[in-house]
Amino acid sequence: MFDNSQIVNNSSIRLIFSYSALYITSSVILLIFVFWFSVVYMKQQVDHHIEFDAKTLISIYTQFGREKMIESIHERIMNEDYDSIYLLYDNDKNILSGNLAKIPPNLSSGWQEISLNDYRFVKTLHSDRARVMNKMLDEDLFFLNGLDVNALDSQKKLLIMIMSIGLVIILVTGLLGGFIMSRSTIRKINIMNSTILKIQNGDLQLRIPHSNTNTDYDLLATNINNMLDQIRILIADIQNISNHISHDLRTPLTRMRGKLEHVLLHTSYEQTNNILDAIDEADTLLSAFNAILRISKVESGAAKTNFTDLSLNRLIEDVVNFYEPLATEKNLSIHTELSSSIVIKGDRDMLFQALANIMDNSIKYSDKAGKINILLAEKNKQIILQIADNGKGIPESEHENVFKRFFQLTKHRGSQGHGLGLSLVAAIAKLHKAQIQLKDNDPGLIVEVLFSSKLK
Amino acid sequence: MKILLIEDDKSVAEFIIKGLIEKSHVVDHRLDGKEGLFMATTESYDVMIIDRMLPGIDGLTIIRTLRASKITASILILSAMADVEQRVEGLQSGADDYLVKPFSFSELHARVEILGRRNSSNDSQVTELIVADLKVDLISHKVTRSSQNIELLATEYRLLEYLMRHAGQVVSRTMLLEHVWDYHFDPQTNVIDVHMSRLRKKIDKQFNIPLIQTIRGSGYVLKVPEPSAQ
Repeated sequence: MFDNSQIVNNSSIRLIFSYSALYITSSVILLIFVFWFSVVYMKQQVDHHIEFDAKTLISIYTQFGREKMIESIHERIMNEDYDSIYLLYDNDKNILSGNLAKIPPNLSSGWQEISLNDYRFVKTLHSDRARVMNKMLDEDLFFLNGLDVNALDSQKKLLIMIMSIGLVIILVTGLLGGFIMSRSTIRKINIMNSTILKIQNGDLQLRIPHSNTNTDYDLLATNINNMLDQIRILIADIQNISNHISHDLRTPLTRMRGKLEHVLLHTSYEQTNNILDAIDEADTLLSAFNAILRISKVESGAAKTNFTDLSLNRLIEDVVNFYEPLATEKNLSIHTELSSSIVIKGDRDMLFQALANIMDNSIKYSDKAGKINILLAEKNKQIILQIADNGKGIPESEHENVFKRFFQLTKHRGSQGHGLGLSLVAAIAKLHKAQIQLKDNDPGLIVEVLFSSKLK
Repeated sequence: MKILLIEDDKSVAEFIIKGLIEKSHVVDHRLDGKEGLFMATTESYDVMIIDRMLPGIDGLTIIRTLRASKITASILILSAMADVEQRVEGLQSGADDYLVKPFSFSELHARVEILGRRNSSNDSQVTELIVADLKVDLISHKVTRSSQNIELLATEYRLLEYLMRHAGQVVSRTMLLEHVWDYHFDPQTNVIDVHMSRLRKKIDKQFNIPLIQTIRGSGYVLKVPEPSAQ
């Protein structure tokens, strides 16, 4: 029950992660796209540059002839444009002009990438690859024009570096942003959850805190609070009704009892027994009303103010001591197996009442010469209190029902009791945040009360 | 005994007054706090029965005022509030006993009788309780009847001591639960009767005169039976 907040944390963290993952993936896809486009664009730029340069030189050739072109190429090489590659050669592989020492092998015509290796005159750049265009100008003249792709490579590297930095920024902002944004939501939800838990545990006055802005959260909190108000009104109504019934009927019953006592003093011996029977009936009704009032008071949580430190061992011993003569009369034996002293915070009178009611039932529904075993132990942060008999037991299908008010097993109807004993036990257990379980003892019944060690 | 009743519920008051007069007590009754306090300070009473919630001045204030002005009469509070805390608050204000509404007349009567007697007797120095030939030594916890030793279990001893201390007075089952077992609760079965019958076996069985008597509808009394009743 108390792990709810953990679950919220986990699901929120999962939410942060999945949103961040989505954000990061889409960003990475975008980066790859941008990178790819940039590279294509840069390649196009290189080609344009080569094409433009080639066009200029070829137009020089067509207008002014071969010598003029050689001159122009020479000029360009002299301008120390190391990135550009020029080579003018004839059919017999004689180099007429250019900045390569040899004609690269396996040259075809048109666009291609070649390896430069040792062909350059001036080795200034690290790259040995170039994008070139090979063109035949006439039957005895070929022109190779190109650009070193080293520039492209270093631009690519720069681009990759920029994008890596971008990726880191995206990762950090994605995770951090997700965390910061969800933190306030997580905190709000945690507050809401812990408040609801406290309300579940009986503090019906609590409300979920919220500001008066019109956010979804505030709207949710306001609606839950309104619902709680409504529930509280309904509970109060029900409690009022049962309280009024019990209270209003109790007073005339008390008066009736008083009048009967009064009459008793002035009656003949024969009538005495009838009147005493009537008084007994009145007492039974009064005790039922008292039980109803007690249950509704315990359920309202008002009884919590009487919590003190008490020894469960002592309490059990007192209950056993109180019921021992009744058990002995029925020839029942009571065995107790109590762990070393367990002290909890609780209402002494209420817990005695609860144990007494369980004990009373065990004795009532035990056969002669039966056994009642009482166990008190502490394990796994729980305090276990077991009362087991080998009497008639309760069919498993009825285990839930016996805690309802006025419920009596069909076979027990007509016997004494008002069917409120176990309802009161359940209410008292709830007040102490204890769980109560019924188990089959085959034959008989085991009533198990589980207190949290936190009650210590 | 002279008793003052301050109670604003007329029907409850009527039923108390009727009963107490029946038991040959003198009863003065006031309906509100102011008049009640006036009576309590001007007249002398053995026992005062004061409702906690009253018009005018509330019950606890009356009791505090009385105790402050050194009026020592025994006081019984009547209240619809049954919490331990409220009980403690009532007793701390200076009251001697606390009775939760609704109550039966016999319960009220038993408590009033005990309160009335407490004021007159000074039992702090008593070391031995004696009724007829039954003796209880409060120091050694030794119980004898006609000089014969009677072995009692702890609970049985406490039960007998309480009955002996209030010999001749009717004690209710609720009073026994509160004083012998020290728990405020509502037993579903009359377990106290079984305890009592055990005690009887040891105290009365082998002797001619039974000392413990059941008063049906009220409780028990320990006394030497009157010859006319036999």
